[in-house]
Amino acid sequence: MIILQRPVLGWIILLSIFFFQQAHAVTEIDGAGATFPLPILKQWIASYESNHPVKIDYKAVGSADGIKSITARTVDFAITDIGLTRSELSQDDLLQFPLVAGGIVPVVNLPRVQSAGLKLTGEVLADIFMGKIAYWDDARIQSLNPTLALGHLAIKVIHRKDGSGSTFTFTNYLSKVSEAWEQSLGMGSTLNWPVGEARMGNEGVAKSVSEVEGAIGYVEYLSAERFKLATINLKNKDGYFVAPNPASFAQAFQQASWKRASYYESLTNLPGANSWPIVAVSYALVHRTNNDYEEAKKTLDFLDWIYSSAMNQNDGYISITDPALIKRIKGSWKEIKDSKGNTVLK
Amino acid sequence: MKLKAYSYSCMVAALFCLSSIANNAWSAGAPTTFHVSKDFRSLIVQGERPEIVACMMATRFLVKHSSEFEDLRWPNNASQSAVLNEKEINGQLTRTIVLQAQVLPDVPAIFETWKPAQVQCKQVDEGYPAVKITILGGSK
Repeated sequence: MIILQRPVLGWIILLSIFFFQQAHAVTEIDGAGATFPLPILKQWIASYESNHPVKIDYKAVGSADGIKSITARTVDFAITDIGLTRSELSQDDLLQFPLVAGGIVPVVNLPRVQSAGLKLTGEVLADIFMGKIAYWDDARIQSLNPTLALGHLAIKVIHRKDGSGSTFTFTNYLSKVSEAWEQSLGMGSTLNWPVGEARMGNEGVAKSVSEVEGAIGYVEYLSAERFKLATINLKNKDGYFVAPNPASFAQAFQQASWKRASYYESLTNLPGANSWPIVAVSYALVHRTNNDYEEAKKTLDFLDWIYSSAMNQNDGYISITDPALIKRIKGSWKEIKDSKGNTVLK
Repeated sequence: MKLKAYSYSCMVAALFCLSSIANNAWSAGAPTTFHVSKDFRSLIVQGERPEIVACMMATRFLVKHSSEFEDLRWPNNASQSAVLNEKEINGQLTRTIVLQAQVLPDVPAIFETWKPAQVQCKQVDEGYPAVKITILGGSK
């Protein structure tokens, strides 16, 4: 029988605690950015954390602040719906790739109007957001909706306050369908809005529209569902009035070519009988160089899991499922290096 | 000696006043502030629209290597009021960005005279933006 002396026993206990902690150490990775994919991100994070020794802290601060955070290197990854082009990415050694896509939907709060009850064209929508159409019973709206009794109710425009990818995609669409919008405002993550009130995040806009009679705003699809907001049917490029739903988002999404080095795609006002005209892509952003090895590795493991997980099959969002595209994206991760210049993925 | 120093002080003060007037004359009294951040990271961190920062960088680079302009500065609302549009024709993506700036022409002058200018960037297929600067209300 081996009798251990007290100091030896003490060392064994200490070492056991040390190795136990090492084996169960939780790495924390930080992300920031878009509010658009937040519902699905929350699901991914919860599911991933339950099976991996990682804590993921994602701050939904809007795409522009996400870009700001990754540029300032205060996070390990950012998610943005403001797709950056190669020219911008190269300025800060950033790598961008698509993560998920979904629809941006105009939502209204009108008495007796249910989802898909109101029809609008892109031009009328632009004129509403420019303040050129100020009342819901305007002849141009009424002529598109002859069976609806639209009262003389003032239109209250609600838009985003923060630098937003939803705004970027929504105004990209308005620029394509309205010459007046294109010339005076253009597209962007923030704009000098001619009318309306500003709210933070998708939830801020959704909440405000749900509370204000006569309001119109734009949010991601699941926010509209969660707040039980009435969506509209929008006339698409081929002249059909289309309802926002996963099938109509998918028809637009399938037209993405992903041919650019930045993977930047503009999925607005695309052809197709059932093509929803405002589809946004959420991109992940990471630094190519000078990363903390452990955090970069855990970040890529998490992103890898997103691509390969069945969790991707979520109503309301469109997953990246094309094997060739995923292979290309993962191939680009081999360029990612730590602070010593070593590649993070072997 | 005392009188000479006094005259010198008055002259410096007068020059300072004249220089301020020349600097602000263009703005017709409107209070405008400017920023002079030069690199991508500073521009992003100070909150410029990410989609136009490449254009701002390319403009600064052009001015730095230009014989026409000595310096450039952005009004604080330059980013917010910029008009960006993009078109995709046959798979080729072209972005145009129009934004307001102030330039200091590289001409001999007693006082610095900043002039309002319009910057136009054209970015074809994600390439480096081509920049055109037009001085407003006068010749280039």
